[in-house]
Amino acid sequence: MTPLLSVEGVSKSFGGIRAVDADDLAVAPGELFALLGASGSGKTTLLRLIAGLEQPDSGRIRIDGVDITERPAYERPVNTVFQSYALFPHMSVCGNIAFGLKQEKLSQAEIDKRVVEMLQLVQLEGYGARRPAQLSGGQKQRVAIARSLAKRPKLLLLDEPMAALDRRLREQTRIELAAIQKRLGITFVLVTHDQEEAMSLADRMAVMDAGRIVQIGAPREIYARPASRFVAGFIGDTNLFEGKAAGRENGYLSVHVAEGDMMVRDVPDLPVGTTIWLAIRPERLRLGTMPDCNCLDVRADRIEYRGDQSILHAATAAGTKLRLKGDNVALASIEAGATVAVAWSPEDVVVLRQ
Amino acid sequence: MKLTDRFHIAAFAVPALWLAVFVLVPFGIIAAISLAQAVDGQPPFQLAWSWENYQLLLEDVLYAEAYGNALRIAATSSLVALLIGYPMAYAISVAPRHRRGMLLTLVMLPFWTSFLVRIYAWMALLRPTGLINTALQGAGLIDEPLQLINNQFAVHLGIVYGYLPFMVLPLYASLEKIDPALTDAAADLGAGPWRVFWRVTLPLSMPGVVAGFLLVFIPAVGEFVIPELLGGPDTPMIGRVLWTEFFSNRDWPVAAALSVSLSLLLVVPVGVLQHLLAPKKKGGAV
Repeated sequence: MTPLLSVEGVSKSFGGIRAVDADDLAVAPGELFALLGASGSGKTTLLRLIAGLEQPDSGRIRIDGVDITERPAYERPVNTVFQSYALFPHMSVCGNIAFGLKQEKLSQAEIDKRVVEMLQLVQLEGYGARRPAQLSGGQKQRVAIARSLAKRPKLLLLDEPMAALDRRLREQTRIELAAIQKRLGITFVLVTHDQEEAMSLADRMAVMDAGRIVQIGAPREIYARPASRFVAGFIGDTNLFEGKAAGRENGYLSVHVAEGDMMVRDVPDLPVGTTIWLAIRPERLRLGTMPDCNCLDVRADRIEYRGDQSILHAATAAGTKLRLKGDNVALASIEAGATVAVAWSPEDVVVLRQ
Repeated sequence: MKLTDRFHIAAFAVPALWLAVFVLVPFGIIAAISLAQAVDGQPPFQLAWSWENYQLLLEDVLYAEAYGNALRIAATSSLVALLIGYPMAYAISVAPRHRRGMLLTLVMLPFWTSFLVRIYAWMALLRPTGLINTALQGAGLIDEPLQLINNQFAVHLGIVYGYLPFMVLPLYASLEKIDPALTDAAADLGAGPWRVFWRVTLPLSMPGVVAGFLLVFIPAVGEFVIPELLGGPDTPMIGRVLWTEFFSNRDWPVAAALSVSLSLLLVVPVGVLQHLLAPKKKGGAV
């Protein structure tokens, strides 16, 4: 199947500084795709390149197989929800939604019909005559979404659409946004720095760092199998040990770390002696000892109460900081300074080569 | 009373006092003189409380003509200044941030030289034996010197030249405030560069257009130096007529009446205009 959006080797520099660096990306029709990265990672620049608001220095951008790299923004079948919403302050809600439709050769009756449809879609019936200044943040965002969907684009780009909303509203909007996307079947590309947002919304996502896409995959896949220390640390929390592959037996790899030897699932094509990192999610660490597990005695530093769970902050004898996420009751009894045994299964360790 | 309250009152009182002493009181004196009678003496008027002087303004067609000329020339000059100033202000507003300060300084640079000196410089350029005519004749393009000075063309030129910075600065201020995301959004929704300008940039810069237009128009109506030095005898403007009444004819009451009616002529339409353009509280139509 032809990808709806394909980005091939696209680069963009601003004043000699690389913002986006030779990125490749393919988004399938109907997919909700997230570009996740810290600020300055190039995700917004990549979005603006797709929208046509910036021109790439090199590379091609295709929509439905058609090369649109040279097309100006106003001739692309792509619409954008801007981070600041960018509603026209001198037009009413209806005027804003109708703006894009008026650029097409549509009859006034058709425009009016679509505006009403869009107001219903975002549940803002009766707000059509208001000015943007008279709307709340959440209402503005819904007008921005309605305005960009009115033209029925093949691809909707969303630049941090929830950034300006408070937490409760953000979660509610997330659900509504996903529902709208599934109902209309329009492909969404969402830019966000919020990993929780990306993971809960996206079918697939790309993690960006310093202008490059460092990993693409389903949220589950990326969380369970991060490709690098950066991704492991950026998506969720992780414990890291640096070590050297020491030897193999029975499908397991023995890894030499500062704390001793650890067993992990064997990784093919990994020469013995290579420097690697072992990543274990805090929720995969358990208190106590278990057979056939990696066990370690650690010194408890403090217990961080998180409401639904608690986090044990600890350090190994070699000085490696560890975090263990677990049940409030089990962790409440641990006192700072105490020595605690922690264990984890070799299956829960991800071997990282970079 | 809190210190900040006192500060607010002081901050308001100083300009209010200034306006009262240097605007309202002099205006009151002028208004009183405008109702007086001209006499030969010192001072050259006698308080009389009569509308005679205003009646004269209505009866003598010279004054109406001078008002008409002043309003017409000021309006066309302001329009020309707008057409030249808008692209300048727009170019500055989209220039790289670090270069905008320098460009604005260049716009204001002429203020470093006296206004009068600059108008004299234009005389030197425009007169029949001036730089422009000499150059054109030297190049063999014309046989006779062109009449570039002492006509309406020169007056328009002088006003546009002299007041252009007053047009550019408010335009720049309102253009610079427009969120670039708005023009991005318009382009994203399918509007080409011209439609973006007509539907988004121009409407949002209207406060600057109005402010710039008024800042050029109002002083241009009463302008004296430019029509005196660059204008011809065929199109008297109200500022020159006023000067003549005051200094040549020593008819203070008529000059004062001219002055009062000129102020009212400007204040009333400008007030109406500002009332119409003031931001509305209630939501408008689609």
